[in-house]
This record gives sequence, C-alpha cells and structure tokens, in this order.
Amino acid sequence: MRNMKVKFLFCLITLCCVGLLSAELKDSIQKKFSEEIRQLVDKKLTENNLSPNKPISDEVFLRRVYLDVVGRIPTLHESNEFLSSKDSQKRNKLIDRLLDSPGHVSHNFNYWADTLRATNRMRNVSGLPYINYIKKSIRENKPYDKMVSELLTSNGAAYEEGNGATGYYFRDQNMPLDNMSNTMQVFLGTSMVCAQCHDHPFDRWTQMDFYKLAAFTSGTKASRNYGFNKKDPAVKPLLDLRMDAKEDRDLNNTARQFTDVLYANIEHNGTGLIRLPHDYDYDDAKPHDIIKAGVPYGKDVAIKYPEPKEEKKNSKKKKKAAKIRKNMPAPGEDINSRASFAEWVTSIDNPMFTKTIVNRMWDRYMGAPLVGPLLSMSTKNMGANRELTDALIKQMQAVNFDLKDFARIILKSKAYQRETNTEDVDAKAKNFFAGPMLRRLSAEQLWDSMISVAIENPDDKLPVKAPLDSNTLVYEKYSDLKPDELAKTIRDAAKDYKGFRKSLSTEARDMNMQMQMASMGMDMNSMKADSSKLDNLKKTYKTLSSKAKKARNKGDKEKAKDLYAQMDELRTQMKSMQNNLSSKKNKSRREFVRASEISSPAQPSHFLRRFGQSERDIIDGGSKEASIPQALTLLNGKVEDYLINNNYSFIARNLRDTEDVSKKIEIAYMSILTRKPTTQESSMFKQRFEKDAVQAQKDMVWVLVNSNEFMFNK
Amino acid sequence: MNIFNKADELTRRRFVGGAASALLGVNYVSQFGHADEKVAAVSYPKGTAKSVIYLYMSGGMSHLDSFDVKPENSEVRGDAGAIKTNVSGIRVSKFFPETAKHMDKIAVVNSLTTTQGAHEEGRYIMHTSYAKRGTIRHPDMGAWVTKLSGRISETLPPFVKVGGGGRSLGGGFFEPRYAALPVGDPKAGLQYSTRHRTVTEGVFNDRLSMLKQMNGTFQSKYKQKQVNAYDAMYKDAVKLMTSEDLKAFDIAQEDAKNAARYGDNKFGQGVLLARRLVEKGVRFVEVNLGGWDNHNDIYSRFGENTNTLDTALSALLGDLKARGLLDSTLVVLATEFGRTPKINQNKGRDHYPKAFSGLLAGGGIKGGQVYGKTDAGGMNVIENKVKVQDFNATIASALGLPVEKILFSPTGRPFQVAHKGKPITALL
Repeated sequence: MRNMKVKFLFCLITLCCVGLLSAELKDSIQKKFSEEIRQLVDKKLTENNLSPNKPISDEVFLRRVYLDVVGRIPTLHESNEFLSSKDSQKRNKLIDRLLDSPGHVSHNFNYWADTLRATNRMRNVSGLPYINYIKKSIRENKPYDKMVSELLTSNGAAYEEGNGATGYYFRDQNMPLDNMSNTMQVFLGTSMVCAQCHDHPFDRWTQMDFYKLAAFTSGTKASRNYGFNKKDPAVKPLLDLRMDAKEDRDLNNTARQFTDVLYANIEHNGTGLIRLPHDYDYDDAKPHDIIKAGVPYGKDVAIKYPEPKEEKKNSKKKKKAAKIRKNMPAPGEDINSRASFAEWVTSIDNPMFTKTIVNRMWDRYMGAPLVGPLLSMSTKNMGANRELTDALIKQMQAVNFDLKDFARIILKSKAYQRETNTEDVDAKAKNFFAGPMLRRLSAEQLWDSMISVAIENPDDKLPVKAPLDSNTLVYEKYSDLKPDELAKTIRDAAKDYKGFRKSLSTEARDMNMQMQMASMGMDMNSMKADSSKLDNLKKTYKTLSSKAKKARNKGDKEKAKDLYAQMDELRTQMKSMQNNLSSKKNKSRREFVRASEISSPAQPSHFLRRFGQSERDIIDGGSKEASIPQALTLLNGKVEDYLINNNYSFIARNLRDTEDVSKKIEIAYMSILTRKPTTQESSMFKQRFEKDAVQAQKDMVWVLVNSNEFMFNK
Repeated sequence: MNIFNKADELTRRRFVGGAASALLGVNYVSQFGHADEKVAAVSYPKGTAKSVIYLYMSGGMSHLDSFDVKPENSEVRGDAGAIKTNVSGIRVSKFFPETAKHMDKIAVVNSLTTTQGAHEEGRYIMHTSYAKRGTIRHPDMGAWVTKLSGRISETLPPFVKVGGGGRSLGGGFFEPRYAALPVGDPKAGLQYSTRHRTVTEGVFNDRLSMLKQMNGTFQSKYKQKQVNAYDAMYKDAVKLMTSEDLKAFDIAQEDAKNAARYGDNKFGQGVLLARRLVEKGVRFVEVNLGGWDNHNDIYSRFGENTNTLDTALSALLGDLKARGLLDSTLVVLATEFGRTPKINQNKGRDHYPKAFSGLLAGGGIKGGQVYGKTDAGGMNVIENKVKVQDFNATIASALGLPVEKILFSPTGRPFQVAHKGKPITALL
C-alpha cells in the first residue's frame, strides 16, 4: 500500500516537471510565433515601401489590451497598478492574466453570441442553456475545433446540464437548410445561401452542392416527444393527464410548462440522404430525387450507407409512397452522418476551417480581416499577405485551436503593439497592417466601460455559476421525477397556475441575485444588518445630542464636552459605515452589470441597442454606425445619473479622495481615458475649477465620457 | 460609363455630402432619386401619400368580431352584432361605433390570407412580406419606405415605433440608420432630447465648448470618417434639441380637448403622437396594440380593447381630415391573422390564418368600400384573395414606391418592398 503511494507521488512529481517543461517550451514556441508575425508583416510593408507604425506607450497598450481581451477599459486601480510597475515583463504578464480572467469570458461571449445569434428566447425553448454552454466553453477554453464539433453533433435533451450545444439546432428549428447555410458561413467562411434555391449567380456553388451538404444533417429534428412510450404502463398517469388537459386550460398550460422543458430535445443524427426540392431545375437530377451527402471541397467524406432493405410487395403502400408531397423528407436510417460532417468541417485538411478562424481572430485584434470578408471567402483566397496567412494557419494548428493561445500570440506580437492608423484605410485597397485599425468600441465595450467607471472591479459581479430562468429551473427541479410523481406535481401546480409561474421566476431571480452577491463577497443579510446597525447609531447620536443640549443648558460644561466628544467619534464611525454601505449598494445596483449578463439581445430602448448591439438575427449583426440617438444618450442620458450625480459611483468616491485640483483632473483622465491629461487639457479644467469646483468636477466627467476619444479603441 | 452609372455617382456624391445630417435617419435627398429610372415603367397606379400611420394589432384580431361580421350565421357570429356605417351596405361589428362614422374614408379588406399561423412568424411576414428565415432579417415596411423615399424632415427620425412591437427595430439587412427609433411611452417623448434635469443651459453650453476643445485634438490626429461622423452626430443632436420640430414629440403641447379624443391610454396617446410626427414630416410611424390573442373568453376583454382602438382610430381619421392631412397620410390597420369562426370550449377563438381583415384609409385610398369576401362561415376567402404581400404592395403603391424595384442585401440577394406582391388597383 505504502509502495503504491510512493509510486503515485513519484508519478505526480514527474508529471509536474513535464508540465513545467512544456510550459516553458510552449512559451518559447509562442514567442517565436509572435516574432514570426512581426517579421512577415514587416516584410510585406517593406516590399510595398511602407513602414510600420510606431510602438505604443504603456498607456495606450493598457487601454487597448483591456478593451480587446476583457471588453472594457481598465479601472483606476488597475491602471495605476500597471503603469507604476517596473517589471520589464509587465505587458506579457498582463496579457496572460487578462486572458485567464472572468472578464475575458464575458467579452468573448458577446462576440460569439453575435456570431452564433444566441438569444435568450428561442422558438420553443429557452436560449439560456445555449448561452450557458457558450460561456462555459469559453471559460474552459475548449479548443475551437472541439466546440464546433460539439455544436454540429449535438443531440439529446435541451435542458440537460452541459447539453446546451443543442441550442445550435434549436436556433434554426424547422429551418434545416438555413441552418446549413449558417454553418457554412460561420465556420467555413463560405457563402452558399443563394445556392439554397438556385445555382449561385456569381460563385461556383450549385444547388446540388448545397443539397449534398444539407443531406448530412437531414433527419435532425427538434422534438418534444422524448421518453413518451405510450405502451409503457409507467407513463399512463401522464397520458391520463394529457386527456384531462384537453378539457382544462390551466392544466394544459401547466403541463406544457413542464413537458416543453423536460422533453425538448434534438433527435436523429442524420441520414445522409435528402430529397431535392419540387422545383429543382437542373439537368443533373430530377425534382424529388433522393441524393446522398457530399462535400464541395476538401477531402471526400466516405459514408457507409446501410444496405437497401428489400421492398415489401405491398402494392397499396407502394402506390402511396410513389405520390410525393411537396418537400416530403427522404426516408433513411440514422447513420450519424452529422458526425462525418463535423469531422470534415473541423479537419485540418479542410481548406476553409482554419483559414476562417484565423481570419476572424486577426479581425478581432487587428481591426480588419486578414484574408477576406468573414462570411464570404473562396478556397483560393489567401489575402494580401499570403505568407502571413499561411504562417497563421500553421500556428493555429500548432496550438491545436486553443484560441486563448492564439490570441496570446497576436497580442504579444510587436505587430499588435503598434499605433493605429490615423488615416482612413480604403476597404477595397490591400491592407498590409502597419498597425491595428482605429475602431469604435462595440456597444458592449462601451457599456462595460461605463460600468467600469461607475463601480470598482465590475468583473466581480460576473456569476461563477450558470444563471437560471424559469425553464432551466423546472428542469433542475423536476427532471428526475418518475411519470406518476410528475403527473401529480403538474396537477398540484395547475391549481394555481399563475402563482406557480410567478414563483418559478421569482425563485430563479432570487437565486441569480444571491449568486451575484456571493461572487462579490456580499450578502443581502449582512447588508441589512449593517443598515439597521447604522440606524441604531443614528438613534444613539440623537439621544446624545439632546443630552448634550440639556447639559449645556444646565451649565454642566464638563459633561457637555464629554458628550460632544462622544458624538464626534460616533459621527466618524457613522460616516465610514455610511460610505461603506452606500458603496456596496452602488455596486450591487441591478443595472450595473456587464452586457454579457443582460438578456441577449437587450431591450430595444437599452443603451446597448442604441449603440448598435446586434438583434441576434443576422450573423455578426452588431453595428458601429454613428447616430443622433447615441449622441443624445450621452449628452442627456443616464451618464448623469450613473456617474455624475451618483455620490457613490467609483469615480465620485475617487475624486473625493483628494482636494488637489491637479490630482482630481488626473484621476478623471486616468479613470475614463486611461491616460494623463496634457498641459493644455489640465489648464482648461483648472480654469473651470477656479470658477466653481463642484460644478467643474461634474463637467469634467461629462466631457470625458462624451469625448470622441472615449468612444474609440486607439 | 453609361448614363446610369453617372446617375448613381451623382446620387452617391450627394449622399456623402449630406451624410452629416443624415444619420438619424436617411438622407434628405433621396438616395434612390435617380435609381428609379432603371426600372421599367410599371403599370400599377402610383399614389401620392407621403406618410404612413401603421396600427398593428398584435396577437391576431378576430375578423368576425370586427370588420367581417356574419350576423346571419348564429354559429360564428358570437357577440359581434352588426351595425350600420355611414356608407350604405357596409356593416361592422357593434364594437366599432365611432369608426363606423368614418367608413367613407376606409377601405376594408376582408379577404386577407396568410400561410403563417404562429404569432412571431405571422408578425414577421406581415411586417416584411417575407417568411421568417434563419439566414437573414428582412427589413420592415417602415424601413423600406424610408429607404426608398428618403426623409421629409431634416431633423426628425423617419421611422418610429411606438409601444412594444417586439425586440426588433425593423431595420433588417439595411444599414442601421433605417431601423426604427423606439418610443416606449408616448408621453415621455423622444428619449434624452432635452437637457438632464440637473443641467442648466449655461452649464450645458460650457460643457459643449470644453468638449469641442477636447475633440479638436483627437480629430486632428485621427482624420477618419468614423470619427468625423460622431462630431457631426453631436452637432445634429444639439441642433435637434433646440429644433422646433422636436415639439412634435411632446404630446403635452396638444390641445387638451383634441388629445382627449384619442383616449387616455397608451395606445390612444401613441396614435396622437403618430399624427403629430407625421404632421412634421416623419415617414412611417407604427403604433402597437396588444391583447388580441383571445383563446379564452373572448368577449370578456374584447370590448375594452376594441373601444381603445375604435376611439383612437376614429379620432385619428377625423383629425387628419380636419387638418387636411388625410390625403397625404395613409392609415393602415394590420394584424397577423384572424381567429377561428367556431368558438372553442373556452369561449375563445384560436388562430386562423386562412382569412382575416385589415383596413386602409386616407393616403389616396378609395374609401367606403369592402374589398374581398369570405364565405358565410368566415372560413374561406371566396372573392379577391389578398395575400399579405399584395396588401403591402398596395401600401407601397399608395406611397408611389416602385414595387418591382429590386434592392440587394449585403450578401447580394435580391429583395423587393412587398416581395412579389401585386397592389390592389381597385383601392388606389
């Protein structure tokens, strides 16, 4: 036994050493990769008689890397910490730290929610499991190819823990052809949507190409019949319930609240067969012909089809089968052709897969695509810098589609740490990337940056566990019930259907709230206790005050003096308690949460939507177009309430810390623009402070938040 | 270079020139002013309406209890009754006594039919003329109208949605500036268009001048369109704040007696807002009214809801007429589908996409007529079937828009304002 333990320990040590070694090795390889990127960018620039932009200052780096990695500006403390550090490796260390932080999950979620059109409300199911799946995949840094494969091969219960990938098919429920178009665009940068209905007018894709692809997922269905075997005597209570529900609206609604959740699932993994549409109009096949799955490029996929069964000599059935209804599905067995498809999509032999994600990642961090439009490239397309594209494809494969590592390589490269372009870059001209592009912040980055000025460390509020809604709660609570128990539960709940629904949403909301408070290290009860403690102190203060008055009136100076001293002490105590409590209250304010924790998409009138948050209907549908309502929102909107008139906003508290006007100005600049003011700027505000210090402070915050500079990632 | 390219180039340059004032909505000078020449002359009549007030009855308004009454059929008539209108031969349900007095201005379409029987899909096709798809978001009628006809007012947004209307702002695949500006509460006016209550005019102006200095430095370093666009937006926003037109958004400025006619409720006041906006040059205002999904006990709520609608609609038609705006303003009443002729066991009516009703009034529409007919049971359209696309094509035609004109989505797919709908010429 002891011997075993020793052996085990030895193994562990060896593993650790290997791990350490490989971490070092990994580091040095990645360094080489970062350097390779710089070399290849510079080479192309030289060839075209261009020179690279200047390297960026620590201040610019700091703001850019926070925006690019965690999706918000750094808070005052974060900035001060970084800028005062003398560590020569501080940039690389910050990149590593931010990539591993919860803020990275939040920011990345916003990006992928836009690309995958993840919404909280889908046709018949909650979008929350899908949303949670995406967040979890990012948090675990799931290799990209694995995530894509999981999405494409997802099946089973929609609400089952960890099975949210099924949302990929629920999102396009009843629209399998559209789903395939989306798959080709998002993961393979191939636009085949025209070929859904006819040969592509200006690309090489034919309708046949498209249907061959669609055959892979053919048969996949979103259903709600899971587990319902009518012959099983155990489900009889549920069948009885269904009969009763036909006569009873409340019972029916209640039952659906359960069954829509418990039985929602994606079934069938693909037949590899599809029927051509009734209006198929080309010579290579006839309408309604059944065709087999096939791929338009890359290595051929071999699918094993089952031997055709001998046809039964039932003439009636045969006759019936001969009459094909419009869009009737092709018959076929479940041969898991989706797995073969996923394998083809994510294979390194697929000429589009790696290229597409490389193109996306470059676009994310450098501000423009490297190869071509994100959703529409060709197999031949290699971009303006072919050598760089080739190198990045190899790098992506070398890091095994670890997107965090890939981001790290770009971010640490000198090509990234350069000043942005100051002139417009013609979208049609070749871009050789003398530096990253100047970009307006996305709606989410803007919102999250505002939150970073309003509260200290907003990422504390990001939940560590998946949040709940009514539907996911139903699954959590009732999925283990046996049919008879379930039937009883439903009947009981139906007695007060509205109350039941309400209790579900309240419970989910409370649990989410508790989770949020817990991740901030706060809890409601202690805040309430503090609040009543403060009230008690206030009462004591009042009593002391009247006692002191009495003593003074009586001429008992000694006693009065003593009482006043007690009061002074109490006042200090109360002030600090009040400060503490109000800051906590400010931080736990419901609207002060990051965009990733607000419903996807946010309400139409929300700040996020004003600034172009995607409606989640179109792939990559977010927009950065300027508009008057945006200007109005910043001019006259909530900025005033959130930051300026809010005495306990993070910035207001920090500004209160000092009486020195120059320091106040520096704090405001650092908090909002992540830099020190220029002499000219400083003197402008100093003049203002001389006139009216209270007003000047408010105006300063307003001006900085409204400035063009705040809105751009430079 | 052929003549069309030239025309396009000219338009494009004009567009760029006007871009600063354009980004709240669309350009003042129509972006497509010349493009029309490309389309072969269409034989459909082109109306002269300028604006649309689009009243959307969310949930599916029962045709049998509103404008397609069947008083003779005891199996389907329910409690609808039937009353005379100011046009002989046209009857409506007892729930629309006020609207009945304006029937001479209204064309009732009783032969609408759709293939979509679910709310979301039904709403989608009604608003866009296209079936909901997973690969695209089609623009709403409102976005099409502003895209094709440009804006009238230089300062006001061209497309506004009042009250609800789902999560979509209807811009679809068009540029974001064609999406609607949402107004949640009609009494609140245009959000953030006045100074914050704690900011005086003096402070506001001081702030602006400091902001100008701040931005000057940034703009001189980054000479980019995206940066300049924000400078322009701020200028225009400040201009809007002091503009006379902004008063259109403030329904408190309305004569109290007239405002009361629309009904003291969100919908009524929303319709009033719509009239005020249209008066000042907004192209398309949609106002939503929910509560029509009457699966249960239909008559318990129907009267209240129809009263809201009847009051606002009749007030609107009367008001538009009195102000001489009726000919230039098209009023539309639309919903996603009708409701089952047979009353179900819960005393309600379920979804019925096969036949339903809509209204068109003003905007040059020939009122005082009923177009299309369902059978005695209200089950099937038996005369002049009107598809959703035809209904929308009629709206487009009334505005003089080219229904056959094709615009391309960013991915190069072709689309038309009303899909392939054909305008109902009898109404134009």
